[in-house]
Amino acid sequence: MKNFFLKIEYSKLIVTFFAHLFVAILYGTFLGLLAKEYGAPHLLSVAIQIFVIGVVTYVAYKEEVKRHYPFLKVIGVNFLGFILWLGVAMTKIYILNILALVLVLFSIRYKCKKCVEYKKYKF
Amino acid sequence: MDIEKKLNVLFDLQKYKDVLELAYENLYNNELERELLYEYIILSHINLEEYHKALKISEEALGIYPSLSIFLYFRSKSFYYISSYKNAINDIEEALNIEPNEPKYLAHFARVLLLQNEYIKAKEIIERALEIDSSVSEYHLTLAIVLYMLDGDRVAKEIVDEVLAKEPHNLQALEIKRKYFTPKLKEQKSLLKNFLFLNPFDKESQKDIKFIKYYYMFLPPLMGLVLFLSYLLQSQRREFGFLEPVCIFGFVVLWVLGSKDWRLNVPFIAGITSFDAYFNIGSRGISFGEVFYIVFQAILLHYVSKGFYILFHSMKFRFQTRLEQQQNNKKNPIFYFLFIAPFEKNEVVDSKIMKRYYITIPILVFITWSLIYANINYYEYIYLKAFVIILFIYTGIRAYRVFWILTIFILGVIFITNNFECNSCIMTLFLSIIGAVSFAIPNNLARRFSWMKD
Repeated sequence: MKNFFLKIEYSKLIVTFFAHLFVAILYGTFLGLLAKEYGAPHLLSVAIQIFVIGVVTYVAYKEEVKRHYPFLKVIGVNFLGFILWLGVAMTKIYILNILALVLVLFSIRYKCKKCVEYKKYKF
Repeated sequence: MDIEKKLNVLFDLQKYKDVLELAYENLYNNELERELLYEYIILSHINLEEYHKALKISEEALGIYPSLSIFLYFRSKSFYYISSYKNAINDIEEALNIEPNEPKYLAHFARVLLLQNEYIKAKEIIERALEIDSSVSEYHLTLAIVLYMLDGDRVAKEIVDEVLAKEPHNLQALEIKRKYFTPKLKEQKSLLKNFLFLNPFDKESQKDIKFIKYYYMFLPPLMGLVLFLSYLLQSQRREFGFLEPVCIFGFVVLWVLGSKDWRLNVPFIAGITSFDAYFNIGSRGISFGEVFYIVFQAILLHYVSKGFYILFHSMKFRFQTRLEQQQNNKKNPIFYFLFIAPFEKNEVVDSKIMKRYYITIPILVFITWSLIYANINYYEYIYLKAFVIILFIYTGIRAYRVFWILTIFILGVIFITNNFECNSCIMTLFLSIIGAVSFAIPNNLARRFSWMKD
């Protein structure tokens, strides 16, 4: 357990958290509100928000630990999230936000040309 | 003993002047070994830091042996040391065209690219070198620096540790470990001692050790003195009002110097601000929220001071680099600094630490702004605001001129529309947004607009 906490790169975690906060809050809030609309209690709505923020941060952090995460990708992911959210809002089938969130998560995992892997060589 | 063996022995003993003497003596008599003699001469000049001479000899050798890639490599190295990176790249690319799989050339190419901020390409090149020959620790260390620059701190640290486990006296690895992976001053001191044990005449390490020693010797009593004076000033302002400039000056100097160790700096800042808050609030007493606020503010100010320290350091580094370039280019120093340096494209990139602050400082400023906006009135943020504004203007100039021009333009519009009155909240918010944008844009993107760059 102690090792687990020691292994976390906290500075990276904070930067990742802020870098994806926009898209995480966007989908978290919207999905939380959607759940509320279907009759879920307030606490569940908050839990959904926290869960979405957690998942987005976790996926992004895992990606950042493995390979380089260029700043343009951060902009791309947030922008894609926003565009997808707008698209879903236009269709008015709000449940599609779940699909959009999955797409955003895949875009975070996308290996771009500059996303080079952190690799070391044996002597 | 034949010349080759003699030169080899002298070179291993680092007697470069003797190597030069012997090599020059035989250079024009011995046609058979001339190529080898040129190599020794160039390498000796490079080790003696006589880069212009090394460059001249490499050109002479290339005139005789135009198809030999080794002299292109040496010329590239000489260009590299006199900070002429474009020429260095051209030469090493040419050498790699002749011998594409020479790891020595590849590693040198990666190092030049590293200084050019081309981290992705540098990684690709150094990995090619490592695939061919992974037994050289220097290549691993170059990869470590590249990975560090690409935010792969953990893997980079592992590589440096592995090199040190294999070669505990590797000076380059010790230097990298101290520079990038040892933030604590006391750990740095022990590493520096190791370093000095191996290289007793290294002036920079001696200077750094002295700095750490004096830091812990003089800073705590000086901080105590300033705290005492500011207590006197706040509690009996009538009698001790004359202490105000001393306290402000002392606070600013110690605040910036203390940024090396948060254990000293945060209590110092918290002490000074709490006196101020306590005597301003008076009989009402400080609430828990205000205590929390003072601590939070102290942490915030500590990070801002860290930013300042790095700023001064990078300015010093920049000034030194420019001075070296000026000496190498043999230009008139006054003419150079007044008319050439401001318009010269800066090829040497600042360290990653500076880059980190591009992200953290805008966030900190945003938090500060939101605190001001939240109407916490007991403490006026005049100094903090002034520091933030100076910081932004400096970094704006440093990073991307276009944002700086935009900032000045929009600030001008704000001033004019407000009848030349400055609303500090709007200005701080505006600067934080501009700063965040200008800081966050990566260097790769900025290079496309190189004419805008400082």
